[in-house]
Amino acid sequence: MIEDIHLIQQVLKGNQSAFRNLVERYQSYVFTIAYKVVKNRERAEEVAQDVFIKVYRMLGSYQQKSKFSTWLYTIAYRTALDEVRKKKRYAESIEADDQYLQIADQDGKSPAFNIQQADLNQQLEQAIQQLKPIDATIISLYYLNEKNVQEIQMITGLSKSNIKTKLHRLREQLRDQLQSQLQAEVQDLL
Amino acid sequence: MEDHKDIKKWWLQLDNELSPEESTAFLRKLEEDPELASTFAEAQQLENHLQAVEADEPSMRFSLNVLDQLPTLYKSVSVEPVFSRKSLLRGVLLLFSSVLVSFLAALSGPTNGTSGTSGQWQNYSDLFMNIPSSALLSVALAGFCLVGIFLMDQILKRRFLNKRA
Repeated sequence: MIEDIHLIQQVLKGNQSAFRNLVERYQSYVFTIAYKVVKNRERAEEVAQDVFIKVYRMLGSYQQKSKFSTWLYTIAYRTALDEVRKKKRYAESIEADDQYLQIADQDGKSPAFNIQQADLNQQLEQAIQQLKPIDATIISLYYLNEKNVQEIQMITGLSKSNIKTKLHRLREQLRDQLQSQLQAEVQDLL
Repeated sequence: MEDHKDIKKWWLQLDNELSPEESTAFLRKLEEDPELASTFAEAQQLENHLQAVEADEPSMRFSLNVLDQLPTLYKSVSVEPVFSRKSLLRGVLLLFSSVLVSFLAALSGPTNGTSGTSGQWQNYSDLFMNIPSSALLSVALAGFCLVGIFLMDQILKRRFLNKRA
């Protein structure tokens, strides 16, 4: 696989197809971050496109102080947050997130349980999608990025201890939400 | 009974962040406490599912849409010199042959009273002597300018390539 830095040099020399390689390499991760923050596929796709255009414009200023992926994800995360703020839905989404958590607490079952047909993976993805933008981003980045807390720290600007605490809390929250399904799975395994 | 310490411990265990001693102590505790073991098994199951979660995929045309919107910021720079070595050689040959032709023409022309080759040579030198100095100066200046542009082109392109490398 061609290294990122080589592709970047090619782009700076005017080779646009090298940029296509970079886009195809990272589009799913950038889209995931955008989707976790803006909570809407169409808007997430627009945000992800904006991110790549922004990155293309700023490519000359990339100084290799961090990995290209970290630099890219940081831009993706900030662009997605800006988008939410710009649309004045940030406050709404925070309130909505609190509601989601309250729903889960009220009857001990998450909204994910309403979908009878869905398997646990789908329910888990749905439960993650219902988390606050920052929480959904942290948990997605943690598992998509081979548990690299340092990278999440650079992307989100949160402290390492804060991220670790959040990760413990979030996983516990997810376990509570999906407890009966998990119990059933554990029983099957035993 | 799940207490806060246990909850934190099992996630640390799953993240491989416990020291070997702590890990052994935790595993021993799991053996002693079936309730804790059952809850840890759930956490482990959740961990497996979280690791299996895949990145979301944008639409099929995503990369093409991005490329359609890219501004033409980075243009490929031609690093070939304006005048290639071949064309420079041709130019020198052309100049040389035109001087040669004019010399031969002067030699084969009328002798103007003086006989032999020396008279023809005299004609030839007279021809050059009669060219106004302003014309010679203009030609020389144009020549210097061309050579200057050529050298400048070479130097700037080399500097650009070094800087980019």
